[in-house]
Amino acid sequence: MSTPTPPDEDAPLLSVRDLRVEFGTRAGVVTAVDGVSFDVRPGETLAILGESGSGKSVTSQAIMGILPKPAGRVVGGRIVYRGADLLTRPPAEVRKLRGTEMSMVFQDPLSSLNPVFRVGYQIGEMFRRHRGYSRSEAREAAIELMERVGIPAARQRVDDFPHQFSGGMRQRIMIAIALALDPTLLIADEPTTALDVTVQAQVMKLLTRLQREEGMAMILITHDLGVVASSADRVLMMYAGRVVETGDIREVYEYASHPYTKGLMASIPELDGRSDRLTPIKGSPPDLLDLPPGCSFHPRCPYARDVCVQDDPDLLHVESRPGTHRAACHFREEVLTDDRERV
Amino acid sequence: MGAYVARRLFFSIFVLWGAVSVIFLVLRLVPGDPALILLGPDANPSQIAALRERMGLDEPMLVQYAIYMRDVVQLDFGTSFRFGTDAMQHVLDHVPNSAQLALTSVGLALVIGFPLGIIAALKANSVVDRIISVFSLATQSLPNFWVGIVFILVFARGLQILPSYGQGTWQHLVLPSITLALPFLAILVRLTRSGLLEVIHEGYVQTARAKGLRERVVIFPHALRNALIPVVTVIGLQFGALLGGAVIVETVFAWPGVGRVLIESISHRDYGVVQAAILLIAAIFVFTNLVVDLLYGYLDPRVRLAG
Repeated sequence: MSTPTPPDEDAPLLSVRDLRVEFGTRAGVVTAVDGVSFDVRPGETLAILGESGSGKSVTSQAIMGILPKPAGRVVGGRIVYRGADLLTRPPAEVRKLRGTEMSMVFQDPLSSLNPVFRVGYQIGEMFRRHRGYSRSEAREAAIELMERVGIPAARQRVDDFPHQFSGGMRQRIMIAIALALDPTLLIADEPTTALDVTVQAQVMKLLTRLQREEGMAMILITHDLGVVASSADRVLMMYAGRVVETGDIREVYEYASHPYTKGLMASIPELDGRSDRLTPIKGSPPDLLDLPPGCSFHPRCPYARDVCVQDDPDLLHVESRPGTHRAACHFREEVLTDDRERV
Repeated sequence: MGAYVARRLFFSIFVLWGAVSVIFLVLRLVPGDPALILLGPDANPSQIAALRERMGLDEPMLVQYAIYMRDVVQLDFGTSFRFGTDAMQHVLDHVPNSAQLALTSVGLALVIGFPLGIIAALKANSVVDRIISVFSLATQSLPNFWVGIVFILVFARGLQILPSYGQGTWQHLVLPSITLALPFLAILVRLTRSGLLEVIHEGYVQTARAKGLRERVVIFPHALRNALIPVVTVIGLQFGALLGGAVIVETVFAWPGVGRVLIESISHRDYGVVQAAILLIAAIFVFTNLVVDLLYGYLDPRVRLAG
């Protein structure tokens, strides 16, 4: 007789496998996400880092099932949430997960909030549509949430419209909507990018505090290395729709094994003045319509050799490092040990 | 808000003054003597002169204008040359008929136009969308009078299922109201379609989806409330076209409304009635636009109506 297996503590909440997303554009079909795989475990924060066009936002839209239609579509892979592949489940079933199990905070709170509805209505809608609250119950719940995300005088402001709030307060309202029904997974797509620098830290602190209180997992999409360092457990580096390096946050920061990661680290200004010059990555982001053959990064890579032009490297273990550290570079060991700033 | 309405009402006085002044001038510039028309071709010159004097048409135009304006501010809009009765009362007597036709048409246009526009937007570039777009382009391009005549030929003379002119039963209302509704409906379809397509990719529509709302809720109210803002504006502007269209449609179908009164009064050079009708139509137009602007402020809370 077999004993039932105890619930696996480390079982991933979300498993993305070999995800491929295409976008139809006027100029042709673009593969915005090309074979991306990763796991998110309960309660952890996974940062997805990359520049514009790297596919990080598209990945999150695909997980949420809100790709812009009809341009964007998932053409391959699996998105498994708690054992169910969201890509094969009936759409009505997946819809019910949105907002309740998985929520999303967007980059620009001004355009993400509906300008013609009062904020209390927009927050309360979560309770009314998903939980069957009455209007007055939903309103009370909205006020409570607004207080929880730190909006002063919530009771007086519940009937205001989004344009009557500051950028930081709007993002707090967006966060209130996302967290209304205690989701298990929060996707934050550049949640601080559109905000004033002084407000960015406050909003980030609020997000991480609420995450800790709720014990929810978070996918933090950003291009801000500083935000990642302070709040993420693991990191996924994306470039041209592919994962180029992944691992625990400290590990990747200190033992960067992909030339792109290394280049990004070198391009951060340091306040203590150890290097007095910024070192940018040369060249510009690739054109997704016309990707270079082999490794997409090779035209910008100081380590590039003949093999890089012919052969696209797989995401493989960096042998001299712990098992979770993987990089998609033919010369990952060399990049790792190379101390020179060859960018 | 109250101050805004007061200010708008104050300025609309000048609009009405302008409208009635222009029509006063135009009426007296076009050829045709009301006394001559009234008395017929056999009248002798002394009879005509006597009638002109009684009508006050022997005075210089500026004096006539001053007298008319003096009367208008006292809400005396003159007398009908033809009937000898109060000009404005004659026009007002026909308002219910016009209102019946106009409201039926607007109702038809809204009830058919909005759903067609929404369907076209949600099925953008599909066969259904193409059919709707061709239909609305066609109905918008066809002139009212032509559509009216074709309707009469087909449904009244050919199939003999509907009356071709006059007023009485609901059947009398069918052809003129559809004729009047068509161009308005077409504009409504196209505006709703483009308005919805414009907002469907906005961030807040994506948010509504991310909130796990049903697609029906994503479209109504989240997308549609925003899409309607420009539609409402244009509806206000198009209302003038609808009033103009009513004049033609009422004439084609011999519908006893204000439009037909206007046309008949113009051909009889019945100055008082023409001026009263124009004043009333202008007032309706100004009022409708005020209502639309207030509605606009309600639909879009970002718009603040400054007093």
